[in-house]
Amino acid sequence: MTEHETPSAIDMGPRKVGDLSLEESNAVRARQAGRSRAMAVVLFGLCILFFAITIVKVGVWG
Amino acid sequence: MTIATNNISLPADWRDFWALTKPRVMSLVVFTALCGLLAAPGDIHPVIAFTAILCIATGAGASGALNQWYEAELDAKMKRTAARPLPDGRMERDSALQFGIGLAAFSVGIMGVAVNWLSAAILAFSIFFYAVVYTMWLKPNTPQNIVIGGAAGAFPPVIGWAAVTGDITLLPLLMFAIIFFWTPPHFWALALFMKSDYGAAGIPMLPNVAGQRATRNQIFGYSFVLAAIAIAPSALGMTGILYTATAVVLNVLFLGFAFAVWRSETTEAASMKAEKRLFAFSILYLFIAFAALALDRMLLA
Repeated sequence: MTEHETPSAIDMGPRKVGDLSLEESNAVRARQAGRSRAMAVVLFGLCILFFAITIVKVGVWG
Repeated sequence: MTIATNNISLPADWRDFWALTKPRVMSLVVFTALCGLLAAPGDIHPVIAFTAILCIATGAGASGALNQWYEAELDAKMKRTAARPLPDGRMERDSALQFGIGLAAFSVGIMGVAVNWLSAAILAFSIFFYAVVYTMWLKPNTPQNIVIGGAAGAFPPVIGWAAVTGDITLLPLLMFAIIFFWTPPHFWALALFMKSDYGAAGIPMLPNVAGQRATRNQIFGYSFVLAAIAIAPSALGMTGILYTATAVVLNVLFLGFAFAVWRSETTEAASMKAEKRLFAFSILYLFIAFAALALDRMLLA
């Protein structure tokens, strides 16, 4: 690389999140937020399910 | 999925993970498992029944994810599967593997702790059978792949039954056999009009290896075996008039559609109406037959 070449003009390999444009960064964050919400729903459902299983197994409600 | 003109990968969407579980296949698995559970004698608490069905569905999802992880390159070659998350590049392959193993461990573990360990053991074996025996061994190597591999899809009613009773008797084995002998005519009807797709991927489906005539003969032959097995619960006095009447009607229709496939000489996929009709009816057949069996057993109880 000569002194006059900019880093963006050559192959630098995978870019880091900090190198993203605003549009790209928003797209990544939106995807992460969607996955986080899906995981929250799954975990909340599991909490309810495990609570119900426990109640049934200990026989509180016969 | 990549953002245009750069090499930054977006994280996979949650819908892509959902697609890995093959939701449409899962619906049939859940339904047959529920029928096995309802047909079984004895009581099960609704919460435990729900947990059992959830674990069976999750186990089926794990099988689908592991199947798609292993077949990503094959899927890319077939029109029917090219848009799946892995061949379409929307997800890392390792993510699918980790997701599949995680779901499998979760479903078997919860089934064992909350329901019973017999149903958990059968669930574990069915996941292993689908992901390893069928996907990795049978499917790429033998045109009998879906005959033997059909066992993987036949386990759910047995698991549902075992979740209630903790054992396995003749009726759940007959339910297993109905799905087992239903699978070849169902899949070979699909394979006839998807022949070029399977051929492009190098999968040795029967029409590609033995030809269309042999496949049509096999479909018709298996339809008779299916009819005999489907009538067996009635003949052995395990079900009442509702299932008997339903099974007779369904199997007469099934044999009629299979006969039309046997008579057909069509080689063009676009004009294979009889094959497409049999494929569509076979799905309806399984839903109605199992619904009638479960309902009949509940009425008898």
